[in-house]
Amino acid sequence: MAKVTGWIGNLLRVNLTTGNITVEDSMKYKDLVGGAGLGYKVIFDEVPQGTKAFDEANKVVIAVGPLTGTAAPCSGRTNITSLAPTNPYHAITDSHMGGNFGPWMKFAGYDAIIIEGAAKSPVWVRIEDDKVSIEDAGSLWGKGTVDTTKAINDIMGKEACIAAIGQAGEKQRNLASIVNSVNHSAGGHGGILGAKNLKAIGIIGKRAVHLADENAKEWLKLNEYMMSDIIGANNQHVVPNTPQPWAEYHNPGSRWTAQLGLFWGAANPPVETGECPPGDKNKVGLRTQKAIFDLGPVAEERTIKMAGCYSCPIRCQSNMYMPELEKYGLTPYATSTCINYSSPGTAMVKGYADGESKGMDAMITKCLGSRLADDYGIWSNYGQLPRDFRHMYNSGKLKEVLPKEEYDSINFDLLEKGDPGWMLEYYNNLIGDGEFSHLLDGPYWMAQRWSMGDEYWNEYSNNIWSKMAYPKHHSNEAGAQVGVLVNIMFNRDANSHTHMNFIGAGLPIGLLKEIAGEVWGSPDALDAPKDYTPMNEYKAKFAKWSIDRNFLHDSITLCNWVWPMVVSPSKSRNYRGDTALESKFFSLATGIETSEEELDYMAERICTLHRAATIKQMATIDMRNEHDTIPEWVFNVDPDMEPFTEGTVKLDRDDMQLALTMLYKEYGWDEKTGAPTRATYEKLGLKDVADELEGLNLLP
Amino acid sequence: MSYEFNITGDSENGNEAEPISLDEAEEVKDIVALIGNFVRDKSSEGQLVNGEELLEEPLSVEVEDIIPTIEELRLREDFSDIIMYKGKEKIYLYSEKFITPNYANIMITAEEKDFFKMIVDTVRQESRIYPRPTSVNLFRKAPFNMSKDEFFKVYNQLKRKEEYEDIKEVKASNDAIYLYSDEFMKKAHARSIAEWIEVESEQNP
Repeated sequence: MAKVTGWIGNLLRVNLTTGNITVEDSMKYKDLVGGAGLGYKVIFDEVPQGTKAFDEANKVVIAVGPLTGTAAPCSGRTNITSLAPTNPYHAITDSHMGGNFGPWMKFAGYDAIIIEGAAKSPVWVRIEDDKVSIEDAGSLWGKGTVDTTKAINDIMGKEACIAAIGQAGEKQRNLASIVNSVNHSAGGHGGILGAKNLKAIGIIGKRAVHLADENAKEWLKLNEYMMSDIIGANNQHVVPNTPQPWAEYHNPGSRWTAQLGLFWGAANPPVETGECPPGDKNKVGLRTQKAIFDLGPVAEERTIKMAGCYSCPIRCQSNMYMPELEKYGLTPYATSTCINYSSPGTAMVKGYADGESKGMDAMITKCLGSRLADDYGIWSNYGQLPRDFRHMYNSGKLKEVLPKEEYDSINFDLLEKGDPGWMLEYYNNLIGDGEFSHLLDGPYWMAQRWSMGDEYWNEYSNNIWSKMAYPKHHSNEAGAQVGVLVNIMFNRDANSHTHMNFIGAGLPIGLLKEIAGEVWGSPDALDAPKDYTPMNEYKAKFAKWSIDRNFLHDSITLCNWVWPMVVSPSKSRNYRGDTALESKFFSLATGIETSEEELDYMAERICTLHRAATIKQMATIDMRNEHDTIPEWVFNVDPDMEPFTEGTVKLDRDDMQLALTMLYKEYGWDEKTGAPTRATYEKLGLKDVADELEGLNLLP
Repeated sequence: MSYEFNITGDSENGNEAEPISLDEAEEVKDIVALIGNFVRDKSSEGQLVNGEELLEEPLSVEVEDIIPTIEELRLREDFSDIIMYKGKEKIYLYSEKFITPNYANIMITAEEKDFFKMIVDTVRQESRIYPRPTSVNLFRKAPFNMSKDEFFKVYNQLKRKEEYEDIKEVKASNDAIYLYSDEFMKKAHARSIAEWIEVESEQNP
């Protein structure tokens, strides 16, 4: 038998009901790459139709791909697949966490861990290479992720990586996270571990992840090429956000914040980012001073360093020195990024005491809020949780639905005054047992419980994406129909950045359209921001490619917050990236020579399997009308403007139905329903999936 | 021993150059290379060289030699990255290995205090190529380096000049002021992009 490289070849199965722990061959999932692809197949095959997320029959698949642990750039993500409690149908979703867990899993000897059944009492799973045991977690239950992680690290050693749930997961809240290394969180599946009485998984291993024979030198060359010529900053932004001598272009929205005179100010001694032009691989890690991007200029002097995931040169996570947190009983540090910082800020619906949206009060609030959310294991649902709170509070609805005694017990004065202390009140009540905690049910169940009307569902600023009840995530404001098509595909917010990274790269529209023409067949695949044109087949190709690359990245496993490399910062390349890089790394790691087109085909297979799992769980093939629905605000925004006029993101209903048809056609799905046909399943090597769906009368 | 040879001969047209010695030729060659490397060094630090700097130590080029020497530099293949720009009063040199023409143009207009041109060129270019309106705060950053008062003093004069009547103003909902050229963007478009940059992008991280 040929030596398995890239992958490990093992899958660990832990049954919490029986206590059985087994190791299986993971290579039976090889054609699905790994990560999400592997997870979808396990859930499709092994979880009965109609199972609810917190049922014992549901399973959790923690899986990574052949690039995890290889040191490919930005390969530190871990994919978790299961049914989603937030979804009206408990349909399949992924949650994703950065940090170290996935690579540690490979080093321990596993491509995936399947958690099934449910323990009778709280447990944690201890994995040290091939020594796997189920341990009592009675003393950990009730603790936050920080204390839990510390306690298990005390047992396993500080080098072990611990993924844990907090109180939100224990209480089976829908909006609960699984958090590794105390600040890398995966959203939406924490409550399922709670339902299984699984508090944490601790993992450490000593194995290597092998590359295919004789590929080490080629691997290093490829890595060098990517680091020198191709990679940009966070979100693959390829121009700096200020004018710089070496840069032809700049963009105020770019996360390439490095510049002369900008520091990690709390480092000892302070570290200047300086300018970081392309070509110098050792400066890539300085390009993204994300603290000032997320928290404003006040963050510069508090930045200890930029950190991030295993094997990632894009350091997007800010390590902050915040002595103000000691006032709230916390250590004087905060570590987070992006939505985990901005989400607490959104909950300050009356602004900040100092009147500054990016001042010191805002920074204290965001650091405090992110610490509490990670410790309790609360998922913000891509910022929807605080928007729901804002809607409930500002509309007066919260006062109506909370018992008077509970409402009066909450210190809303802190909120009204813009006091960062509101964070303690907000998160403590979310994690409490009162009515307020039902904000953690997520939009669909919360709206049912509290009889929310159309004003909740249809208000543009609420960001709710249709009655599938997840928030928009780079939708019509991101590439017009392309963003909408990306947003209809998933069962949670579209955690897909492929299209937005390209649109937001920072290059002039002429260059972007040229590149769009080279990748998707025509410059018409891309519209200028807020200057949209009607649907065309090239936008459908762009949307499909974006979706497929997202599925690929969640399977292979690479970070979709940086990948793919459609563009580069290199003037000498005329800013062209290299869309074949994933396949080049895949080929070198696995020894299976795979072209870009072949890998994209595997991604299409994964996407179609996700669709099949959704159809099975929803028990309908009418995806167009039951799943791929588009919120009213897409068509109602800017009431005084017509679709396809400059200055609006408004779209047209008939045009979007055409867009759905064109997307279905690109996938070879039934153009009426949006369900894959038997012929498409079989073409993709998914005959067994087609057979099962036919037995359920779920083929078009 | 010295040899004589012709470095600038144009015998076809009958313009015989004065023969010079190799020592003299090496000297010429050295000063050309010295200037080229001097320009590169300054450019790598994000700075232009103006012609007057060549008169100073260590280069000490004679006034009458400046233009011929720069011309010679421009003919040298190994210094093809050196760009010369004739400003209103000075000659500027930079290496495009380190400084882009657009950035150099801004530096020169700033150096020459041609603030109308600096602002208008920038706004028109951003409206044309991205397209996006330009935040007035941009002009406080390098290489513009204008104070808030300086900017608004210039801007208020600029608004009254007919030749700049395409430069228009929009505000985002947070009152941030943006400029755009209506030759390249419509008002509604400029306003919506300003709103995206100032407000909406933070809500869609």
